[in-house]
Amino acid sequence: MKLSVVNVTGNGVMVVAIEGRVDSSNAQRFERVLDAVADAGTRGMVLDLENLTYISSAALRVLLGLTKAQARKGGTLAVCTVPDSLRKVFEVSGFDQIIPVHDSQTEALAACSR
Amino acid sequence: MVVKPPYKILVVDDEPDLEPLMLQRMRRNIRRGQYTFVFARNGVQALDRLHAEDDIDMVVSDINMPEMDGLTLLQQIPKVDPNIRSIIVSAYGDMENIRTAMNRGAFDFVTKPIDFRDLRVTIDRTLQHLMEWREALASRDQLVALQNELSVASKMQQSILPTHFPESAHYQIFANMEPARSVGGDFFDVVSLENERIGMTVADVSDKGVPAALFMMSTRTLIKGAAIGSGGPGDVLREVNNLLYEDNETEMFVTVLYAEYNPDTGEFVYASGGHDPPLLVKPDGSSTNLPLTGGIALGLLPDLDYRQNSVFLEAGDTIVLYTDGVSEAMDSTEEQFGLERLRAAVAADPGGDAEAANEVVFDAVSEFVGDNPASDDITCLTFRRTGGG
Repeated sequence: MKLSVVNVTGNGVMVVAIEGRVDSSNAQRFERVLDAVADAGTRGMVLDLENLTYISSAALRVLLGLTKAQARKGGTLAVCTVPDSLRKVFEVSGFDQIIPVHDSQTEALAACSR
Repeated sequence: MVVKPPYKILVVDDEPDLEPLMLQRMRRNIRRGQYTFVFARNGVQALDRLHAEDDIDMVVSDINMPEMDGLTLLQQIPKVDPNIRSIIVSAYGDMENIRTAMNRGAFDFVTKPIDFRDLRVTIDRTLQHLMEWREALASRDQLVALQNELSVASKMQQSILPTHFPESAHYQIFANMEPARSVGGDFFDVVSLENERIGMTVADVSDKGVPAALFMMSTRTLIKGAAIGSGGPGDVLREVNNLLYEDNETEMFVTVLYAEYNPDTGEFVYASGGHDPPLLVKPDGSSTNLPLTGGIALGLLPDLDYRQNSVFLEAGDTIVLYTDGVSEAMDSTEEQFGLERLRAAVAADPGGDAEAANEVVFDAVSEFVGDNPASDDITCLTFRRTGGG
């Protein structure tokens, strides 16, 4: 798993690219890093999942925590460019009804900036 | 040096002048909050102090003393606390006593007349060792605690799985769960309902460890309670979701596929809470993924509605319920087992009973993953409508 902040917009929305696998073995680290990034960001976070190969339910739980944390400070968590194999995970679990899934970073940023 | 000062040092010497001398020569270290000193005049007094004060980190002891000498004291200290470190003060060149002291567990020694700079260096080195020792102990304890927790959770998980399945002239049912080495959160359950109807659950809790196992147990109990006297799978999931949400402060969730079969009508009704839909297998081996019902995993949001869907089973039709431990099982190249392989596996079922059919899935997954250790629990439930009504 590799996390990198790839973009910070003028209005403080952070774009974080996630690569590789997130499963129960590294979900805690995933949570710590994203929490730290969220603390630094003013409002809104976009996770670019284009190069994510696997996401476990433990990682989805982290995303849920982030979504709630963002909501508390008036921000939005969105994901974008989800590979087809993972899009299914979002659809089946119903997480796509909790976390907005966008086709592109631009679209996700626009949604977070509203 | 890793510091958690001040360190409490017990100085044991029958010479009354040592106490003011020590306090005077170590005053800078005391003032900086590095050390505090307490004193005893012989081994017996020293042991009394060690018993009375559990925060003493280290002992600096003379050898020759009345009532109990330093070498005897050394033997007694580990019985009070094996993690206290000792420095022995011996006469210069008294190698015999020094050797005895080291054999009895002294960490280091200094010689008389005491060179306080040397003593300070020796104390610091001893404390450094003590810190590292404690850190190692702490991480070992954490590891042991973690393993204990996982083994407790694993036992809780196993304890809720049914080991007997209802027998009926109308259907066969069998399920199994193969736990991953680090506990996952899968479980299954089978509930007998009114009028020979049967309820079945396959579920996956989002976490591992004892809290997840407790969440799993309450999910299973709530489903069982809701199933008895419910208006069907959609209602069951709706009710269980609300109950789980009520006291869920941990963002834990569970994906559930709950289904009921009515042998009078042959109707199989299911609802999904964020779980993979059932696979329907015809007697000729062809199979279809039944449509998703679109429900969200349970425990996340309150007041959700869960749609249900139904199919009518014909004699010989088989329903396979599974967790993502099956579909996402990986081989050494990180390729996933996937639905197509699952469908191929069930198509190749030689046509034994539900238990044998269920075993076919586990065999196929196991053959596929080879030596790659399972990262998630693998659960599969097979339900087959047999001949007759």
